[in-house]
Amino acid sequence: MNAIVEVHALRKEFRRRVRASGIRGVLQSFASPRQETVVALGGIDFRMEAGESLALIGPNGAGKSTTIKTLTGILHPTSGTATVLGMVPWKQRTQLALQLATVFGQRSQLWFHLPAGETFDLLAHIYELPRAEYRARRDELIERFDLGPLLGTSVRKLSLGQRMRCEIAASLLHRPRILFLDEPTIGLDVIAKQTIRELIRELNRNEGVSVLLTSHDAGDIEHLCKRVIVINHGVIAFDDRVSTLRRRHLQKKVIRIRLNESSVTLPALAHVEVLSRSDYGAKLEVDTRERAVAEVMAELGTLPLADITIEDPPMEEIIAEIYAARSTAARGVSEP
Amino acid sequence: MTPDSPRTGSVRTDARGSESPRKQPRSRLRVWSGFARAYALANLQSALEYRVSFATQVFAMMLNDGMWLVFWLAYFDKFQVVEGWGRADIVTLWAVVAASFGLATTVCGNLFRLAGLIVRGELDIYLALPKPVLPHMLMSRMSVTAPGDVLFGVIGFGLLVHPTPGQWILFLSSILTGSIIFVAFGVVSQSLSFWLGNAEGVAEQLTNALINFSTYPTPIFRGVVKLALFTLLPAGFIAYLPVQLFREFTWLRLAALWGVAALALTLAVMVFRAGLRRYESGNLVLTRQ
Amino acid sequence: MSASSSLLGIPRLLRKTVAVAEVTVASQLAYVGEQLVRTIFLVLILYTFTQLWNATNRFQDVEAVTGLSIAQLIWYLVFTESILLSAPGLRGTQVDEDVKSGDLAYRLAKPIPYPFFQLGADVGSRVFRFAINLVVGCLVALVVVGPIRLSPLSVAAAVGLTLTVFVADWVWIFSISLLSFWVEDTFGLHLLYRRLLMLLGGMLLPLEAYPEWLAAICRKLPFAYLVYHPSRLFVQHEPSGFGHARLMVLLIGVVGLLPLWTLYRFGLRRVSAQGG
Repeated sequence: MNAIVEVHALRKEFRRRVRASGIRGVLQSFASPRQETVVALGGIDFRMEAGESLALIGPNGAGKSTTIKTLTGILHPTSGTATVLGMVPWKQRTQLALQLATVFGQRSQLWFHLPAGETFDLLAHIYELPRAEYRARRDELIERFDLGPLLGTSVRKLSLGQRMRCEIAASLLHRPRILFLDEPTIGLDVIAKQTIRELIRELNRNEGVSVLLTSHDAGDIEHLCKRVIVINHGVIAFDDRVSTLRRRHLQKKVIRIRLNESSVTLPALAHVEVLSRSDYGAKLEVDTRERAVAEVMAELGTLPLADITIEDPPMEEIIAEIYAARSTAARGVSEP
Repeated sequence: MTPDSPRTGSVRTDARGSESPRKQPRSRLRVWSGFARAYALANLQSALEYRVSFATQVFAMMLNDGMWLVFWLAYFDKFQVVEGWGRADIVTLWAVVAASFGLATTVCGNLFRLAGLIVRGELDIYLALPKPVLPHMLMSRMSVTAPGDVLFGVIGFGLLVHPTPGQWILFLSSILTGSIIFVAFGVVSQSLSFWLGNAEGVAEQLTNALINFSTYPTPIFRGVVKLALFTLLPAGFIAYLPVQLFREFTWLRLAALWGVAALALTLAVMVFRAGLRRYESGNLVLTRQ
Repeated sequence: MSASSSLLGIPRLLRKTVAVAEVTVASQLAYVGEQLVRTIFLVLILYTFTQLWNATNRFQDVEAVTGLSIAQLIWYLVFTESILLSAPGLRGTQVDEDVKSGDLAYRLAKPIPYPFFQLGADVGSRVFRFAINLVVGCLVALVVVGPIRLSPLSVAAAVGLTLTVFVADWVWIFSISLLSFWVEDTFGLHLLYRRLLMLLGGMLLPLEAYPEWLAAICRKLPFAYLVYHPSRLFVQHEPSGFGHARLMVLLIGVVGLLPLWTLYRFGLRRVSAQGG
């Protein structure tokens, strides 16, 4: 086993100043500032092997980004240890940065007013890439990410999906061994999400780049990763294979339908719960342990459908399920 | 950063680079100059995206400085001298301060945006890249109006002071120390954001104060304020000491000026490093929402 | 919006504009703290100039040269700085933002024409900032140079004239902002206008203290009416020259309506052409 990321008892606290509103609040906080401590990471442990693709999921504010930012050396942890490629990120940040790449879905490293190609050139200088090597790599990435038509356009004129493709290509110029992706699909439409997922999966398979990504979209994990860590309130709630998560906790899919006609009677479907119903639509939940989604879709196909979409249940629901399962398991132990 | 490293670098390129292993570090100087050139190019291209705005801003900046010069010319039209300072002293003062500030913000265009970058967590991008954060962050933006300040300083000095070659060298030296002190002061005041949360307003007021005090004859200030001008608000080293050097050159004064600049820069780097350990990457703002 | 209907509607429009101004002032009260922090710069300037004039006075009699005592020079400065520091920020004005973001299209749908709304909001907030600056400035002046003889009538005339100045100044600032329909960033133009106002308007020195040739130029240009004249009134013993200055300020505002109206018409055409 060849661990490239090792995290032990990693803890990060933020201090937040509390202030009452109004002029009195301003004066009060000036005289005696009150602080409260927010625990972003409550001492987490995990390992990641070379070549692995690992997803870190959880709701907003769970500590996903804090984990990634600590592993890249952006944040200094309050306590605990971590090594990435044998280096301590917050101590050997620049050396480490040469071998890894970080992509932030909500923060661009591309120059807003320039074509992405210009930023590529700049990055070649930042990573001190030999010229010929850089050119070959750039052309290869342009080809693979289909960036040819985009390169001449300034970034501000690109769509979010196009920008994200450029963003990821930019982060790969220096052939990193690990790729950290913080919410790479946030705000993207369905097609763009799929394109990005496919590119990342190929990268992991063909180039052997280890991938650690955060997301609050359960779809990202299912399509991208073999292993998943679910994190909530800075604590790891689940760390296992995606297939296990799916088997145990992702047993439901939500189907939304829109109808062409009003007052259509829905057929009675086994293992399907109607969550809501309106004149021209309905929201159904399928228990996938009992029935395949495709089967249900086929049955719904007889209706005068205008539109149909399949979604994962929201992250919050999955986490609630994990906790519910855990507490019943715990009770099971204490009451044999 | 050893003195002989540039030579090592040139040897390597002479050997066409192919034989030397990739891991061998290229000359720091070459790397940074290539890096700075690439950034300057990107900055300039960004600026030229908006031609009209760029031109009016440079012109407006020069007019801004010119306004103050006209004030002083008007002043010296009526009065001969203030605390022993005459017209030439004030022109020198303005030329040095404007050019120092211009140089500082041309090279380090992100200097006075640092507090905002800290609060909004925008240092992440620089922290994820394999270069020292402080110089990288500072240099990755160029103020396109600041060359107007430099231009104003150089032209004003040349036309109104009629300097000798020796004075030109002294002028250059003063601009360098002045801009180093401006950068150091900017880094320290903007870094307050690491500790205070949003310190953009405070830092702005401090910067305004420094600029204000730098642009008047230092001897008119007395007491505590004067003490502050040689410590917390180092206007004395940006403005007063250079002008004294022009009036009466001593090596000791020159050495003192460079010593202060070096000290200020060291202090700034230390403060920034200490702050970086507390960097919260925008989490403070996020938790508030 | 035909000419006749807008003429008939003017009293109602003005009532609405004043209402917007009042609301703006009320909402600005939440930012008193922030505004007070911003007056630090005013305090610095006043302190610096007091030091400068005192130092000058040790070698030459300032009053003999400028015709004004040091105290008068500082009180004059309080007023000019209050006028200019209360002006809106140069970067990213509301109009610039609205044009850039396309929000203008939504604002056009409001039951008050966009320029009138902006007039109310801008002048309202400026009056508020002016009041704070003036109060702080007067307190600082009292401390650093002591009281001077102020005539209530002149002070009232100065403040009254300043309100007119704000409207006239707004007409020109708004016109510059409207250029953002065509120019990417109007910061440079705003800065240019503001600096001309400071320099040729006599912000740092009253025109009496300028060299004769420069004073002669300034007296012929409109800028002094927006800065020098109201401030001179403030430190004067009787409100002479008020009527003439007021007429000139009004004229400056009225003349500015031509570029404002032209730019606004052509600008709107661009909004509708782009589909808002």
